[in-house]
Amino acid sequence: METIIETILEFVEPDCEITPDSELRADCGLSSFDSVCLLDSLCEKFGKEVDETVIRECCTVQDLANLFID
Amino acid sequence: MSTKTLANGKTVETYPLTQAQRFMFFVWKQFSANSPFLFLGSGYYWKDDFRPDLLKEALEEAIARCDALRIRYTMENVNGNMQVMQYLLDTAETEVEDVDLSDMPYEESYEIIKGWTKEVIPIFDCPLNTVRIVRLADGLNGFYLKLNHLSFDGYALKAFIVDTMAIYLHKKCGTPYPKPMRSYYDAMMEEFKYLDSDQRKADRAYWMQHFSTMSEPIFNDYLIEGNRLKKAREEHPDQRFISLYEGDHPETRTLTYELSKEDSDLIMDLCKGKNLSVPCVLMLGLRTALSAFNDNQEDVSFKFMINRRGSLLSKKAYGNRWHFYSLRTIIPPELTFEQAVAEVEKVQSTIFKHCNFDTLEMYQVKHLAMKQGAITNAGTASYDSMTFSYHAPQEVPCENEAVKATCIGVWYPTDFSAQNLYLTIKHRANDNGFEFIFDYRISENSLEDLKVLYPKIVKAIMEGVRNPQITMGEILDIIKL
Repeated sequence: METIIETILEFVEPDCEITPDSELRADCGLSSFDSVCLLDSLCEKFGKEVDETVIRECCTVQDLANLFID
Repeated sequence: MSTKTLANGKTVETYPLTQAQRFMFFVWKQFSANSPFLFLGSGYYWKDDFRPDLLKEALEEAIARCDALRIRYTMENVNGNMQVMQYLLDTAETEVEDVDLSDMPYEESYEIIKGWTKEVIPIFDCPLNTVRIVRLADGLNGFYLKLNHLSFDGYALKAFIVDTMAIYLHKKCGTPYPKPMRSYYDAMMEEFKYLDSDQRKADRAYWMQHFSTMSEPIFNDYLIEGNRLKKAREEHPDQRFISLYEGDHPETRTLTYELSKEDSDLIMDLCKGKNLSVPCVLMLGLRTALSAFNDNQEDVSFKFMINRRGSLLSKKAYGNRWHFYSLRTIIPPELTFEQAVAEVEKVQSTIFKHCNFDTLEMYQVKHLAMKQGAITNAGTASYDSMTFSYHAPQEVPCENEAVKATCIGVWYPTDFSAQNLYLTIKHRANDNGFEFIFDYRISENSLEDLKVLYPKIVKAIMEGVRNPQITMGEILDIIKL
């Protein structure tokens, strides 16, 4: 989860408060483009392939984390 | 990278244009070389106990924080070829002027300021940008920006307004000083790094595969009586593209429509409640209207602009990052509105993943990969009748709600465009409602038809927003011509 939050902070102002329950669009202010870039970045960090179209199913930070953390 | 010695004896490093800048420069030279195509004119005004002294200080600080205002362009001999290069000066050398137009009606001042925007100025080795404090009638005050489109896109222009207002409010009301902007140089280097990356090779391979295996798209006109594909099909019944006349008559006008705050809020609330993408809802409205104009065609394409601002660096480093892609969706009538938005977003996400691959090279790949239709015809042939862009809200700091209600953001068009029809949807400054701006070429468009397009787009969107389970077929029945 730490890696996920650290990566999100590359896309938002560093003082943005992010928790697993934060909503990617509403709380983190991520656009669709941000989300695709974020997913790309996480795929690289976790060495995992995730289809970019699943990002629209992710509402919260936890949803996103579930794609990478077993 | 090479160097250049300036008139003052100082030596600076010069860099090629980024791919996005190259595209902008190419379009300018190709279609509108003697036009003010490369200028962006915008004003931001409000009513308060105006402090021009503080605004001047704020603008000067925002200028100092904005690397892109220090960019200059030059022609350089690179291996025997004259090439456009860019370099960064130590300071922007942009003076803040103060102009009083308060003694004339707003409409008259609008035309004067629009004239400033249209005034063509040289672009090589000279100042490129204008910043003016402007006082308008009825107590409206603010500032005007004329920025060079090679150095700024719409997002960067708005970012400058946001930064200026944050500094102004800090000085006037003691609100927190805005966080630092980011380095244009670093963002430019990231762009150059991509050119030699494995990611670029992967993107190229993706697009090559995509274009070589897809079925041929089809042109969907926004013109009703003069539907260009229908006319072309009288001679060539199987034709699916149109040669758009983009060369000699780039003169445009604008049609602007304001969507009510209530309807705008309904759209935003639906997107928030169902985790939908706002631009995808808007683009679904556009593609549904185009479908209705073309016998309920299920296969609809149009060009859309991507400003590629994901990382904080790219969001805060100014510059022009626009790439243009064709957004093609095939949506059967039985899909619900909500499912159709998901389909648009799916296509959009796939494009986003590979959108650092630039527009000009994409055309080359298309030519290599596609064997049929428009690609084998003249360079003006296209499946996209128009272009769409959405400007996401960037919240401009404001003193209080009363002042916010008076804020207006004004776009001063240059009346020239390289595109036949360009729809920009952005948010109003005072209430965040949607503004639809149609920039249309006067030589190629029927104003009557364009006036039909807007209500069809809005009707399609609002039917879906009020009932996300309605099918696209039902919406097409409602908005049929």
